[in-house]
Amino acid sequence: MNTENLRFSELAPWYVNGSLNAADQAWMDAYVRNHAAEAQTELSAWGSLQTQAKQSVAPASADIGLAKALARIHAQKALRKSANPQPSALQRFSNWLFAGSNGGLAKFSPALGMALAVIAVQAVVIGKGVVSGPDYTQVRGAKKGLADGPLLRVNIKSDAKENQIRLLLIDSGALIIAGPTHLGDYYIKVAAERVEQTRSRFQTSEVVDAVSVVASLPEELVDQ
Amino acid sequence: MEFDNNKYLILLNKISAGDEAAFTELYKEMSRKVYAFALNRLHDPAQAEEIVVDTLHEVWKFPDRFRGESKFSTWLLGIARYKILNTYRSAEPDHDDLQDFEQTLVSADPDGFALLADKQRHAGVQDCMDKLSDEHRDCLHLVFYEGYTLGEVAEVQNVPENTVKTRLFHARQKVKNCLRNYLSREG
Repeated sequence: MNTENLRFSELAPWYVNGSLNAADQAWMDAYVRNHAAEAQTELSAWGSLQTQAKQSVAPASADIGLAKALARIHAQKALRKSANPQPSALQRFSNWLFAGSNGGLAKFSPALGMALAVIAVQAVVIGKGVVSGPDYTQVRGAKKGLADGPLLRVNIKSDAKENQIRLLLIDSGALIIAGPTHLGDYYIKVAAERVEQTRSRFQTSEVVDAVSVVASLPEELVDQ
Repeated sequence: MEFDNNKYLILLNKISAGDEAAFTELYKEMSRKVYAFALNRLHDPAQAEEIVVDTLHEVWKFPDRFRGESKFSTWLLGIARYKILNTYRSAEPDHDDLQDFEQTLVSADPDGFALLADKQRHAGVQDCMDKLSDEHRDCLHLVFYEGYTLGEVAEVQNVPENTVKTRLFHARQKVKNCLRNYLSREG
């Protein structure tokens, strides 16, 4: 194969798809004129592949997956909001009350101010108890129906933030059904056809130490 | 007609401010392109749709990563390719059956391909293209479905331009040999 043939062969697919620059295009035009039979054979071979490539993909709607993407975005927004909640009315009152020299108790005489302070502190303490409720975390087990596999056992890195874990779960459409265990394992469930895909996704996550597919939940984690 | 980079940069700027309408506009502009690319690789509409969502969600999360140095669509298909590799690579079948076709390699036959392709235009050519390796199939898709330049295909596939040339040559050769096999079976 001489230099001209070689150049023609290299440029042929780009000639067929119409993406050559002006100089190469002109060179190819001239070559095709001068070597019509040979050139046409080569070009029609590439043309067959082009035709097939264009026909091989079924048309899709521009909205494909859009609802899912927006739902994901909304879920993340909601998560961020819950991670950075607005101060409650009680909290705002408390902040105002103890604000510096420009506001709150500083406006009143020392005795009245002291009396109001005692009342206010009691109100805030009692109010917080009512609004917040108990704050504790416990090891959770799963109801029997949810414990059927396949499940993913995921070990989360110790320095992962809760927000990162939540985002990962929402991104994957995964549900924690048990954990964390004393070894730090979570058991999560996704649709059966997405187990492998989710496993791969978790494997590449920066907050995951290890992930494996398990047939079912360990007996001790199943709520009877 | 595809948007130009300036239009994408304007949309991305709005997206970085949390503008869902801008995201929706960009999504609708690019979704079919990403879907076609993913479907060509995965042959599974549900998985291809998932790749569309994942890829464009990445744009929502990190709109500032595109700086306009390349065509937006090649940048985006590069992300899609990465998502496919990360999510489905373990599930991808090998295409060792092409080894059979290699045995009948006849590269010196000048008009064999056209004749063969003509006779087997639809089912045969498609079947042979489906049997190509992922990289070869991607390459043909980017060249002939997207109409990309050599440099753009190299960017999406994240390889040097010479590798793209080699892939194209081999893809063509393999399809040709595959078609030859078809014909010989037909007698």
